[in-house]
Amino acid sequence: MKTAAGILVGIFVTVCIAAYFQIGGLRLNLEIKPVELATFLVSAFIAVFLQYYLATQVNDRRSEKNLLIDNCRDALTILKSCRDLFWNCYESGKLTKSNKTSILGYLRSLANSLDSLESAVGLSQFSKLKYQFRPAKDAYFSYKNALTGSGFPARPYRNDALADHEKTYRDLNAEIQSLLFQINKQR
Amino acid sequence: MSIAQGLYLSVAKEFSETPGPRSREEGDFSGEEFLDRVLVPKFDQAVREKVTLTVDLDGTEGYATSFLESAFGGLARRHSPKKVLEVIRFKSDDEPFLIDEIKRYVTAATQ
Repeated sequence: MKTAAGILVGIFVTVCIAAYFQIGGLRLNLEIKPVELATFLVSAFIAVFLQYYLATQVNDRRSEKNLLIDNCRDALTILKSCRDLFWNCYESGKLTKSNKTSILGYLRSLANSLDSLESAVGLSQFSKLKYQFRPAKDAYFSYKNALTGSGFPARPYRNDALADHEKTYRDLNAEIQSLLFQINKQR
Repeated sequence: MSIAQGLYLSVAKEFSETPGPRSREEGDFSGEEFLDRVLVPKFDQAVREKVTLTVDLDGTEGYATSFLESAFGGLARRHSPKKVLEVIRFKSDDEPFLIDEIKRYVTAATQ
């Protein structure tokens, strides 16, 4: 990069010297034309602006997006673990003390993952998306209600709990994915 | 009506680190037991003294929906959602979503 700039400056200086001494038919016109000078300055400014400012901006936005998308992925991973645990309990027909602790633990991790995602979005350049968290939050509360409402933890999960779990799981999964897509398509 | 800063209630210290199911028949440390034994006496005291009651939710293994609805929804059914939200302040650093969740059960409770 520095070598290329050096070569360009070298060529420019050589041409100026050649023009000054009128070598090879070159001629130096010392008359200053305001319009051309202004055009040159604007072009130079745009070149510097594009290279340093816009490139930095694009990189910053990409980094923020990657961070937020990672947060969404974390939430989806915890949600899947929750679903697997629910299925284990449902298939075994039991809900042990250890199952109860694990389910509450996963739900807390999921809630905190969504909470930190919401905070991170609020601090990022895409803070307007913060107002689109309500449906995801509602879906989380419905999911938690399906897992730990009614007879939890006294009774094992039955068929009605299975239907409720699957519906609320799908809704929450779709809401988190929708957030992920919205973050990704921000310009 | 302005209410002064006042009473404090830690669920983990004054009730249990492992809150349980909805009702007493379903198991130990139920929402119903918490409501009758701990929450109502403190709430009534706060109302009498015209101070707020800060309920600290931290330090437990987590709360089932059944427990929260029975305890806080139950309190709102005995008094009124407005009164409950006026007197109680919630603290939850372990899981900030809990505060929103409880407020939903309080608001949805019908006497």
